[in-house]
Amino acid sequence: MSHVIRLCLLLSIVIPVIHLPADALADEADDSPSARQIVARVDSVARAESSEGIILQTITTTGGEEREFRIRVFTKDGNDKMLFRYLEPARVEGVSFLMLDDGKDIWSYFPSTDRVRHLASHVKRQKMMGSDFSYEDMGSSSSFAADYDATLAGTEDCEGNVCYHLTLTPYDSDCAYSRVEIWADTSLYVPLRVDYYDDDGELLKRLLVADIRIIDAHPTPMHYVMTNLQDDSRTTMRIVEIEYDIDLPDAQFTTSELKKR
Amino acid sequence: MCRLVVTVTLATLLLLPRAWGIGPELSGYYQYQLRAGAIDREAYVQDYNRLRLDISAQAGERASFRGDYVYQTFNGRTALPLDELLPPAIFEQLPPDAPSAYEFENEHYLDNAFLSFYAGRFMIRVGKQQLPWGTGYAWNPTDLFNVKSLVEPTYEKRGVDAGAIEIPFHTAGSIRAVFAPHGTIEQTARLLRIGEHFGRYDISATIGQLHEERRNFLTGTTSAERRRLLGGDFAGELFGLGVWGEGAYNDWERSDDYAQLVLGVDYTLENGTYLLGEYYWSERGRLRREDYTVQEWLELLFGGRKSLARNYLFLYTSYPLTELIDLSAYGVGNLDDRSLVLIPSLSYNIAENVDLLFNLNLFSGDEASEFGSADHLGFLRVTAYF
Repeated sequence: MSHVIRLCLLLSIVIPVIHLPADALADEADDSPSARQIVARVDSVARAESSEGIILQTITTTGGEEREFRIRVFTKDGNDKMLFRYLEPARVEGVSFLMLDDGKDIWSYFPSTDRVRHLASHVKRQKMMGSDFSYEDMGSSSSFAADYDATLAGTEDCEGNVCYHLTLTPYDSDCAYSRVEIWADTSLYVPLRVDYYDDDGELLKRLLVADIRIIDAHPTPMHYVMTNLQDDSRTTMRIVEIEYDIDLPDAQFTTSELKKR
Repeated sequence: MCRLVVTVTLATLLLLPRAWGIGPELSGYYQYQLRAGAIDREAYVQDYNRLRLDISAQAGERASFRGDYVYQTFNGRTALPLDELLPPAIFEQLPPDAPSAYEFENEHYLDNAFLSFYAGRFMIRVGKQQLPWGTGYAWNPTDLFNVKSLVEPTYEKRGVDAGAIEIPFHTAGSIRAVFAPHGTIEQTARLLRIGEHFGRYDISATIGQLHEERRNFLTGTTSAERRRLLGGDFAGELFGLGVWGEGAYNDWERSDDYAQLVLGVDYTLENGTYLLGEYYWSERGRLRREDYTVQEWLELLFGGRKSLARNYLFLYTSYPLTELIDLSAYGVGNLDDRSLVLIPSLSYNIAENVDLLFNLNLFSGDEASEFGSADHLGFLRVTAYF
C-alpha cells in the first residue's frame, strides 16, 4: 500500500463528499463506533462520485511573502481520478497535473514546452507547486482504513466541536508519515484537524479545516489551512466553486486532456 | 513594411476571435535578458527585449484558437566573430564565403497560430504549433522538428506549420499523426506515434519521414534530403527511480544512416533536492575531436545539429532554497573529447508574475574540443507575465 497521508483525502479537497446522509451518520455516532468504523466513515466522507470546482490557494512563505493560485479541479470515482489545472497567476496558467490510481500515476503538463511528462513516485512527497500540500496529499484518495491502524484516544473538543481523537500508525514503514492524529467531527465525520508526524516522530504539519457546508447533500469543508511547523510556512485553500455528482467522462482524465486550456 | 506586417498580424489575431463573438483573452510576457562575456579578452555585453503576446479564444464548445506573436530586439554586441567560437584549426579551414560571425538579429514572427477542434475524444489541430516529441529531457532522437538547446532544454520551442490529429484511448494511450506541408506531397513531413500505458510505464513507437533542408557550408548550397525515422520511447519507474529512454534509427536518402539513443534517470531526495542524469549516444558522432569537420561545426553553430561527438552525459540538480528561490546546476559533458559546460543558476520568483533568472555558462576543455573553444558567459533574465 502506498505510504500515504491520505490527506487530501480528508481534505476531500475539492472533492469531498459523503455517501451517507449527515443525519444517518450522526445517529450511528451515538452507537460508540470503533476506531476502525470511525476511520471508515472518515474515508467515506472524503469520497465523491465526481466533482468539479475551483480552489483558491494562498502560499505564505517562510519569509512572509504570499503567492496566490487559482486552480480548477476535476475528480471522479472517489478521487481515484483527479485533474488539476492552474488558471492563475499568468506565469503558471495552463500548468496541469493528472493523478490516477490513488495518486500512484502522475503526469504533468507545462504549456511553455507543450510537453506531458510522467512523474515517478519519488516526487509524491514533494511540495506541489511550492505549496505545503504534497503531490501525495493532493492526489491520494481517502483510504486511511487501508493504510493505517487506528486507535481511539477518546472524544475531545476541537475548534469548538466534539470530535473523535484518533491516532493512526501506518502498516507500511515506507509511509510518508510515522504517525497521524485526527480529530473528526462526531456528527459529520469530517476531520477538523490533522497532525502529521515525520519519520523522527516530530510534528511536521497541521491541517485545520473550517466552514463546513452541506452542498448537494455533501458536507464540504470550504476552508483548509496546512501549516508546516518545521518550515514555518503555510498554505490556505478556499473552495470558491464546487459541484458534485456531475457527468464527467473518463476522457476527462487522460493525458490528452492536460493540454486543453 | 515591417510595421505593416506587425499591424496586420496583430489585427488578425485580435479580430478573428471577435468575429466569432467570443472576445479574445490576452496574455503573454515581457522578457529582458542581459548577457555578458568576453571576446579577445575584452568584456562585452548584449541584451534583448522580447515581447510575447498570446491570444486565445474559445470558438464554441468544440473549437479554440490560439496565436502567439513574438517581437524581439537585440542591442549591444550582436555579432560574435567565428574565430572566437570555433577552434583555430577549424576556423582556418573555413571557405571564403562562409559566414564571418554569428549574428543576433531583431525579429518578429508568429510563433503559434492554430485552431483546435474537439470531436468526442478526437483532437485535430491545424496551424503553426509546437510539436514536442519523445521522453528525453536534453535530447529527443524521435523529434524530427526541433533542435533543443543543450544549455536550456526547457526553453519554449518555435511552432511548426502542421496539421495534427490525436486520438486518445484509455488513460495515457494515444495515436498521434502529424502532417507538415513542405513543397510537394512527397516532401511533406509525416509522423505517426502510437503510445500506451502499461503498468507504470508509458511506451510508444514512432515512424516518420520528412525532407530536411541541409545547407552545405563548404559549397554554399542548400538541398533537401529524405530522412526516414523509426523510433520509440518509454517513461516509468524502476526501484523508485524515474526512468526513461528514447531511441531512433535514421535512414537517409544519400547520407549515412545512424542510430541515436537516450537513457535517463531522476530522483528527488527527502530534502527536495532533485537529481537528473541522462546519457546520449549518437552513431553519427565522432569519437575523436580531430575528426570534427568544418561542416559539422557550422551546423552546430547555425542549427541542424546539437552535438559533435558520440557519447554525452547530461546532469542536472536543483534545490528549493525557499518557496520562491531555486538553486540549480546543469552539466553537459562530451565524454569523447572530455570537454564540458557547467551552468549554475539561481531563479527567484520576485513577485506574483515576475521571475528572475541568473546563470553562468562555464566551459572547460582544450581549444579543439566542443565546449573548450567557447568563452565563459553570464546571463541575467527577468520575465514579467501578464
